[in-house]
This record gives sequence, C-alpha cells and structure tokens, in this order.
Amino acid sequence: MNEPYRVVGNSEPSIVTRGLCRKFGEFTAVDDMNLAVSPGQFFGFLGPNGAGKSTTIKMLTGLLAPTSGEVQILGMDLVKNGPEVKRHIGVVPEGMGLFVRLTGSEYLNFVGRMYGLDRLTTARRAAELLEFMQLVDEPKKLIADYSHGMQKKLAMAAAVIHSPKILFLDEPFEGVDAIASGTLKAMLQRMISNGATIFLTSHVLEIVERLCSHVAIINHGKLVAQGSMEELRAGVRAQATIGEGGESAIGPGQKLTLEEMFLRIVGGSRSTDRELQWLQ
Amino acid sequence: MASVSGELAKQQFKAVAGARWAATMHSLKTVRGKLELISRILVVAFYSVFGLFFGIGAGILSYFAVINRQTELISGMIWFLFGFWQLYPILRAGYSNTFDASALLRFPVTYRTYFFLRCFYGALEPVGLVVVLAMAGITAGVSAASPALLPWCAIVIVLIVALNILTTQLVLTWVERWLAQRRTREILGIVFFLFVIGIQFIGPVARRLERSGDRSKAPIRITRESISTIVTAERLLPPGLAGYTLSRAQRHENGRAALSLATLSAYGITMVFLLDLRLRKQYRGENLGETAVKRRAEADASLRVGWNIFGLPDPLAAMVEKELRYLIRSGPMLLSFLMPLVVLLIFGGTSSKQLPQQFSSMTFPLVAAYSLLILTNVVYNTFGGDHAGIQFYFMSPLPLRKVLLAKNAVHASIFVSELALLWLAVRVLRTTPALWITAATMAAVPYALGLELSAGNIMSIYWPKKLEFQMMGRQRTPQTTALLALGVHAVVVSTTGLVFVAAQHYGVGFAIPAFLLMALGGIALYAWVLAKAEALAMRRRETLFEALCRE
Repeated sequence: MNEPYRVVGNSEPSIVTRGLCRKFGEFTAVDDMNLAVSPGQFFGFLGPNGAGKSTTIKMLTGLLAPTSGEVQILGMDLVKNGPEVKRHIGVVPEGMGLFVRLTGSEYLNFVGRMYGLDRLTTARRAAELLEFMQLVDEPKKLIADYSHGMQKKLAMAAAVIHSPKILFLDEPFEGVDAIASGTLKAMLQRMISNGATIFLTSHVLEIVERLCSHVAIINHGKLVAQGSMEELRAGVRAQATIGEGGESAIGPGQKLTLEEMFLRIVGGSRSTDRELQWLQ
Repeated sequence: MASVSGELAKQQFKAVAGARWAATMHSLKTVRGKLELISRILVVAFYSVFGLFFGIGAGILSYFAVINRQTELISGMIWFLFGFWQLYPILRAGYSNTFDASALLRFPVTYRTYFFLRCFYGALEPVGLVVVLAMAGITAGVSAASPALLPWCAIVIVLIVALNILTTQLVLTWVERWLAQRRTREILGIVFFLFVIGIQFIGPVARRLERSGDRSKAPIRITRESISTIVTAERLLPPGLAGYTLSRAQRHENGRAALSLATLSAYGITMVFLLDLRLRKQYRGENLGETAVKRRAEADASLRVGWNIFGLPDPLAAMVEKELRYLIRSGPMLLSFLMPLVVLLIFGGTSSKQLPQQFSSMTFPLVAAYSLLILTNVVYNTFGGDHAGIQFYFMSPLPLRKVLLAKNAVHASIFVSELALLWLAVRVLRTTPALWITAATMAAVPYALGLELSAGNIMSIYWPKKLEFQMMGRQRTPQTTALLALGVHAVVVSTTGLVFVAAQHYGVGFAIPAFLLMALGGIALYAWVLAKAEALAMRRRETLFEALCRE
C-alpha cells in the first residue's frame, strides 16, 4: 500500500506538495509526499503517532524547512513568497504559538495588527472573537492562567482573525470541551461554506469523519491514502478483495467507518488480548 | 513508613542527579552543547581560582587574628563573604543558571525532599564556590593557629554557609512573591523607594547635626561609645555571632560560646521557618499569576484598541506594545533595570573628595557602561521570554528582521531612558556631569548599542534559552552567551574608555568626533547583521523552537 489510492483535484489546488521530504539525521519523517488539496475542501490529515503529521503541517506553514521537495500554497511557492503566502493562511500549530504574558484581548490585537489589519478593525474582530469563543468573561486574565481548552480556543481565534483563505489546524479539538467543540465546528463549517480551505490533523477519527470531505492518511512518513470518504471506502474495499483472493470480507452493503478504514490502511489492530499483569 | 519515604527520597535525589547528568551528556551531541560545557568549565575554573585566592587570603588573616587573640575580627571577613554571596549575583546581572525545582512537583516528591532539592541545587552557584573556598580557608587558618578551635570553627562555618544558602532562597522566594502581584509590587516599590531616599538623607542629616554644634547627636561621629554600640549590635547578627563564638571558645568560655552558637542556630531555624512558609505554598501548587485569585470580572464590553505609536507602522507598533507589556509585567526584570540607579544611589553618597578627580568626573559614563551590562539578559536572548510564541513570528507575514528591529528599539529606548535617569541621579548626588562628558557619552551610545544589539541578535538566534520573566533568578542567558556577551562588553568598554582617556590628553574636542565615527561603524554593523538575521533565523528555526517551545 505504498501508492496513494488516488490524487484528487477538481480545480486549481490550494495546497500542493511535490516530492516533499524531511529527514532528521538518518530518520526520514516525511518521504516523497505528493499532496493536493482543492479550494473549499475540509481536509483531514490522519496517521498514527509519529507518522509525520505534525512534521508535514509544519512544512506546509513554514515552521520547518523541507529536506527536499516543493510546497505551493494558493499557487505560490512557500519559500519564495513566504510573507505573501502567510498573509492568506491561518495556523494553529502544535505548541499553539501563544504569547502567554498577554491577556486574550491584547494577544488578538497583537496578532491582527501583525497580519496587517488596522487597529480599529483588529479591536472589533478581537472583541467579537472573544465573545464568540466565550473568553470575554475574564478580560484581565493572562493567557498563562488560561486552561488548555481556553488556550486552544484563543489560538483558533488568532488563526482566523485576518480571515485567511486556508486554515491549518494541528489537533484543534484536543482539550476543548464539548460545548466549545460544537462552537468551533460550526465556525469551521461556516468558513468552508464561504470558500475557505481547511487542513486539519486529528487523532479523533469521529470528528474527522463528521467534518471532513476529504482525507489523507500518512504512515511511517509515506502518504498511503488520499481522497474523498467514498473514494477511500472504495479503495479499501478493492484492496480487501485483492488481498483475500477475489472475495471481500466486507459485505456489499456494509459502510465502513473511518476508524475501520484507518485500521485497515495503516495495518493496525487493537491489542486487547495482551494485558499488563502488574497494572491493577 | 519513614524508612520507605527515606528510601524514596534517596532514589529521587539520585534520579534528579541522573536526569541532569543524562541531559548534560545528550547536550554534548551538539556543537551548542559542547560550547556550553566549555563555557561552564571556564567559568568554574575562573571562580575556583578566585575562590582559592580568597581562601588563602582568608586563611592567613584568620591565622593572625587567632594568634594575636583578635579572633572576633574574623566576623568582619564573614560579613564581607556574606554580603558578597548575597549581593554579587544581583549586581552582576546574572551570569549563571538556576534549577527549577517546580518541575518536580508532578512526581511523588515529599515536601522535605522538595525543600532540600530546592536549597541544594539553588546553592550551586559559582559565587557559592568562591565563598565556600574562602570559608574553608578561614577554618584552615583558625585550626592551624589553634587546633582546639577546629570543632567550634567547623560548626560555625557550616552554620554560616547554611544561613547563606537559606538567605538566598528566602530573598528569592519572598521577593518573587511580592513582585508577582500588582498590589504587593506597588508596596514593595514604595518601601524600596523610601529606603533609597532614606539612605540619601543620612549624609545631610549628619552634617547638619555636626554643624549645629551638638556633636553628641552626630550619627557618623566616631567615638569609643559609638564603636562599642556598633560592636554590640553586630554581635547580635549571624556574622558577628560567628566571630563572637570563636573568640569566646578561644578564651575557654564554653558556656558563652555555646549560647552564641545556639543563637546562630536560632537564626537558621527562623529562616527555615520563613522559607517553609513560601516553599510549602509552592509545593501545594501555588500560582503567582496576576489572576491567580479566581475573581470573575464583569465582561468588559468596551473596545480595547492597541497602541498607536507615532511614526511606527501598525505591525511594528504592535510588536513594541507586546514587548513593553511583557517587560512591565516582569517584576524581576524591572528590578534589574533599576540596579544601576540603585548602585548609584547607594554608592553615590561617597564624597567626591574621596575619589580621584578623573574617576569622579567619569561617574556618568561608568554607570552608563554598567547599565549596558544590565541589558544582557534581554538583548542577548531576545526571544527567551516568548516561549512558544516564537512560532508566531515564523507564521506571520512580518519579516523577522522587523521583529528584531522592534525588539531592539524597545531595548535601546530603555537604555536611553535609563541614561537620562542616571544623568539626573549623578547631577543630584554628585555634580552635573561636564557638558563634554555628557555629549561624548551620548555620542558613544549608537556605537555601543550597535555592537551590543548586533551581537545580541546573533546570539539570540544561535543560543536561545527559555526565560521565566516573572520568576526571580530565571532571567538568565546561557553560559556561552554570557561569556561572549562579557567579551562584547569588554570591547565596548575598553574602546570607549580609550577614547575618554585620549580625550583627557589630547583635548575634549577629540572625543565626540571619534565617537561619531565609531557610531557609523556600529550602525553599519547593526544594519548588516539585521539584513542577515532573516536568513539566519530561518536556518536556525528548529533550534529556536526546540529551545523555546518545549514544556
């Protein structure tokens, strides 16, 4: 399963990678990745721990230099047009990138102006975002004193304050409560309906299945699957049929969940039979 | 249960030492780590030589003090060493790293283990090495002169070292607490201000009393009675008690010596008690943040608009605002910025007549050079306080050279404001600095800042280290950076010093053109480094993230 099932693209892609590769010494974290994400797609990027998801998202956002290969965002080369590309993208990185000795309002005001918004527009949007994210109650609280979930919401607010065309989210729902999670999902879906592209990594497959129209799966640094949910299902079914001598173990009417597809594609199985004797 | 927890504590001590050792070994795999180790070895070697020198001197003095039956004079040395241990780290603006024991709190560490770990690793400062060597010298000198005094001396020295360690931790923890919240910070600020002002009044009041003819009321008039009063008071404090214990023991007045030793121990117990008040709260997970007290403020509907700074484009103004907010919220950092003023206020009372004329007239450039030293931690590790926020600079469209420009502008403004304050302070405390000295010092500023900021920007990209702006003793640069910064300071001070010396020989008109010429060089260097900084930072971004983003 070294080749992706299919590379999709029904118009000029928002995100394209060609032969993207990243090595850390002898270890290859991302290997020859060819990815294409079309405008308006809600794209889920999945993989087991250590598969290369965060490394990929860092390379796509300029936080990490590729060893080789090319990244194009909105038709522009990321390396050559760094500042211009960054003007149109929003990012919630792995470490959230917050300045924790500011208050939420100060931080959003700072971020908006760094993206080139004027002071008044920034202030208005900051106030709206704080209200929307339910962070408005404690205006003097420093970000350092926020809970993890509150910090995540603030990072999300900062990523959208300049109304980006592409949003990169690394585990955006990690540590966010159910109510806030619902609010965020609604906001993201609104962005998609307004034509934005969202590239998201998550371990929570149910969320990806519910939100994303397209997914890609990475394993051991290689892209092993890419396409819409239906394309992925068809691919897994076909693979199962080939693997089992023409007779698929998947029933004709059976609709595979993303979790089932994921486990089949990355070749994992739940090890429930083993147990740790010393663990009470 | 006691033995179980004792065994656990032992394991934890070993585990911490092992983890620190493993971290050191891992760091040696990188060039940065190797250079850091070499820097540390150099620093320890320097302090060891310094300490040995101190130790031999203290040993000889102690020997003769005991032989001449002037044993109590040893307390003078202990006073000096006590002051040196406590004040030197503050005055030198931090050239070493302290251990953050709070990271251990998630493990099943008992409070007692936490207390000892905090005190033990907190004592591992180079200045501690110097003082311990000097104290060892005192013990050797005393016991060589009178072997019978060895047990007394050993106990006294151990107690004094313990008191030194406890005092350092006590000051750090309590000042950190007072600086953490606005109200206590303001109270501390007022007390500090009154103290400094109070010092300034001692001289004038004394002179006035002397002039009034009532000489008996003059506080600085040295009489047999006043010396006796000072000595009696001094004997009530730890260094005095140490000398008194040894002197009584030498006269075989063991009862008095034991009582004095008991009083010294009582000081130790009191300090342990006061330190315990703070550390116990830290152990229980105290949060010193401004908003630690959960008070749900009413929603503030008013629009909070960012600062508009005249002449600066919005993104740069936002950067300046952010930098200033960070510094304003860091009590320890503000305190360090005030140090040149404090040093001047404390030592400024010295009569100008007691100093050589050239030295006295150069007070303003000298304190200006010292205040440059104070900026080391922020200039040479400019991203240190940003932590994971460093990622944002690489995600935002603002080029990194502009980020650096904004940070440098803030640091340069602080330096210039500090110079203005220092000039005023010199004027009030001594005399108005000569016009040519003021003009020459100001003309030297672009040169000095050009060099310092250029080196600082490169070091900030090459050797970043996470700083905790709100905690005492955690605002320090890595050792390699500190040494290189010291080198740059030496270049700046020696070259500007040469120009001042030359100006006094060849005429004052020489200094300003020379400094302006040097300023051109400094500015050109700064512009060149700034232009290169962007590419350099892009190449080094992983190092920056690794150092600043990890928990």
